[in-house]
Order: sequence, then structure tokens, then C-alpha cells
Amino acid sequence: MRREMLDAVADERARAFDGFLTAELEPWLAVKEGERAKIAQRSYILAGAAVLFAIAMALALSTSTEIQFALFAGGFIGIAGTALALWPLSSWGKTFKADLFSRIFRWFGYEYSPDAPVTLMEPLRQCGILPGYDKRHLEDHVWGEIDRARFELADCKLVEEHRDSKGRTSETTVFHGLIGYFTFAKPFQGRTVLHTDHGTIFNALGGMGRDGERVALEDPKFENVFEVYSTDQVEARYLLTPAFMERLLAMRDRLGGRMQAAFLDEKLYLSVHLGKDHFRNPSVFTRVDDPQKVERLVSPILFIASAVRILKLNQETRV
Amino acid sequence: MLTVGIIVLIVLVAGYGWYVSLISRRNKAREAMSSIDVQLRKRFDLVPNVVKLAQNFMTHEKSLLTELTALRAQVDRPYKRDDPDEVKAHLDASKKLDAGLRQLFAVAENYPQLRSSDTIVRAQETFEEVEANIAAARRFYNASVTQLNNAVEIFPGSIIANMAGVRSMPFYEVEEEARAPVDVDDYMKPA
Repeated sequence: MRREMLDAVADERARAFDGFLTAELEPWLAVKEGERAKIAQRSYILAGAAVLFAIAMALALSTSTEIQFALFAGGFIGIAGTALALWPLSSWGKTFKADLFSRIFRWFGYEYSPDAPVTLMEPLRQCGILPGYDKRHLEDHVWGEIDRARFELADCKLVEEHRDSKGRTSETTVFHGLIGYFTFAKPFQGRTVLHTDHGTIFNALGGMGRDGERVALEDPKFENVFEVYSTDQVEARYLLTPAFMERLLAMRDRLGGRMQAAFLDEKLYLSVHLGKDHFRNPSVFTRVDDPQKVERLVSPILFIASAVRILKLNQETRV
Repeated sequence: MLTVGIIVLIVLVAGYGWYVSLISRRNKAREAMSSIDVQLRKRFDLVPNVVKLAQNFMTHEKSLLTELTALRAQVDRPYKRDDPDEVKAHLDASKKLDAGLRQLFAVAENYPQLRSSDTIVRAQETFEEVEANIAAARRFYNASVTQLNNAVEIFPGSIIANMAGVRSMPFYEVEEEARAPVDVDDYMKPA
């Protein structure tokens, strides 16, 4: 039922988007496909030449040096040459993505920038719904307003570096997914944070450094998914009504990742660890004028309007 | 002898731990009760203004207005937060006041002049806001009372609670009839 509700909202927007896709986007994509095909052809020829040159070099070196060195040198030349050959295609792809996303987001009435500000992360870090990291990468910054509810979202990747006893470094991705906020119509003063539930022992250990007190809620399914902490027990329940808890669960089911949330400064902050970007990148190695590919890119964008309407973030609803 | 001493010490420490937990839970329930009272006070403060305004228009609803004033006085009476009977009486009076106010707003729909009055519109908005806060405070209170009652009623907590004079507290439940739509016709009959 919940999924049907979400899909109904998305379907309504998707149907309207079809008109825009046919009338405006498809002719533009046809022109872009022409550009891509030319650059791709040139890049593939150069990459092929680089691979052939690498093989020739490896064979030549193998007669005068050890075979391992010849293979290493050949491999290095092949990889570096292929990367150089494909660089114009990759660079074109970045410009194409920014242009395509700007057009699509503009149609939805949102603003878009390929880069996202670091400041978007700060409240989420402050609330403890983003992990510690050594390296970060933010992209696809989308912002706008739907039915008086403002929002700001971006894709985020956080990486932690490890160094072993021999000094070798390795990297672990600790977060990869969607971050951002929606403004919240209900007035509130304190801070209420929904952490992922990790089971009794880990919750107790993790809860020691958290702000506020644990809030025990009535919905067993919600309690299994989230561990709620708040600076105000009454306010936490004022925000997390039984109906709103259901809506949050519905949104989490829809996104499919590990969702955490925080109510702070009249906003509902979200971090959703998906293990991938929420706003997908269009592939430049296949045709870019395929309408099905565009529809796949639009699906995560439809989520924004669905979220506002299903969570009723635009209404001062009391339930 | 040493073994007996160690066992007695363990029993005493465990008993004290249980006692501390009981008192913490009782204090939590008291805190939750205070938060309900803060919200009930807001609802309570609405009554005089609404009744005063309604008296000018609602000539047939004298009994309802009188009842509201009486219920307000009943809710305002001081009570002991440790005494489950007094807490129950206080919560029952609050529920009746809530039902009375709902009836009043429902009946007000039949008086166009009253319905369009800024004061009654604002009062109704405030009432809805206060009700949302009361519902939240009620959920906090009931969660605290569940924890307290479990500790008080389950052995060996029942023995320690009895010795410490800590008693189970009543839940703040909302009856279905309080949430049911009000039949305005019942209040439109001539007195």
C-alpha cells in the first residue's frame, strides 16, 4: 500500500515528463548522440592504437630484458595510453551530464549544480548521522521548493584511509549515497535524531556519546529500524507521530538503503547510505539518446516530489 | 561465614540498584506528568475566552458552557502526583474538558457569526496545536508509566516497591468516544 502511494505520486510526474521528453529532450539528445559518436569513434581508435603500441613495446622489450619487466612496461603503456585516449570522451561526458541534468531539473522546477557545497554535510555530521572520514566527494547538488517545502540534496561519498604496520595504505568507503534536508512545517526547538538500530549491545555502546535521551516509541517495526535520541521527549513524539513513523518507513523501503534522519533547526535532515550515487551518471560508452536510459535517470529525481508529498512535509499536519 | 557475608552484600547491592531504578522510573513518570500538565494548562487557558465569546451567540448551549466552566475548575484543582487515584481523577477531568471543547467547536459550526469570529478561529487553531502536543506528552507519559509499572509489579520489584512506597500509576488513555465525531444535533435541542 505504501509503495503504491509513492508510485502514484511518481507516476503522475512521470506521465507529465513524457511530454517534455518527446518534445524537447529527444531532439537535443539526438544532436548530443551525434557529438558523442564522433568523439567515441576517435577515442576508440586512439585507445586501440595505444593497446597495439603497448603490445609491440612489450614484445620488443622481451627480447632484450626480463619478461616480467616487458609485461609490466607494456601493461603500463597500454593503460596510460587508453586512459589518455578516452579522456576527451570522459570530459565530454561530464559536460553532457551537467547539461542534461540542468535541463531535467529545470523542467521539474529545481536548481542543479554538478558540485555540492561541503556545508551541506555539517549539520548531518553534527547530529552523528554521517560517519567520520578522511576523504570526501560531493556532487550533483539539487535544490528547490515543492509546495512550500524547500529542499537541498546531493550525492556524497566518504572514504576512510587505513595504514597497516608496513605503512601500506588502503581505503574503505564508509558512506556512499544521498544527503540533504527538507524544511519541516511543524515548529520545534530541540534536536531529535534517528540512528540506525544496531541491536541492543551496539546501541548501548553507540548511545553513550549521543546528545539527549533515548526515546522509546510504540511502533515495533520503527523501533527495529531506528534508534531515536532526542533532547526533548515530548517534542520527539510531537514530530514522530504514529502516521509519520509509517511514512518514514515507507520512504526508507522505497530508497532501499540505510536511512538515518535528524530534526534540527526546522529541517528534516536525511542521510541514505545506498552504496552508490542516488543521481545516476549517464554512460557515455553507449547511445545517450535512448529514452529508456533517460527514464532511468529521472526515477531518482521523482523521489524528491514523492518524499515531500508522502511525508506531507508541506503541511502543518498534526498526525 | 565469609560466604554468607558476601551473599548478603550482593543482595543488598542488588536491592539498592533495584531501588535506584524504581525511583528513577517514578521520577521519569512524574516528569512526564509535568509535561502533560504544561500542555493541559494551555488548553485550560483557552476555556475562559472561548466560553465568554460563545455566550454572546450560543443561547441554547447554556448547559454545555456551564459544564465547561465547571470542568475547568475541576482540572485546576491541585493534586498529588504520587497518588495514582488523584492522578487518575485529574486525567479523567482533563479528558472530559477535551471532549467538552470538541463539542463546543462542533456546535459553533451552526453559528455563522461565531464561526467567522477571529477569536474562535484562532482558538480552534490553538486547540488543534495544543491537542497535538498533549498527544505527544500523553505518549511520553504512557511509555514512562509502562516502565514504572513493569518495575513495580514484577517480582522482586514488587517487594522493593512496597517497602519504598512506590505504586503503579494509571495510564492516560483516550476513550474512543472522545475521538468520535460529535453529533451536533444533541446540543441543538432547546434547553
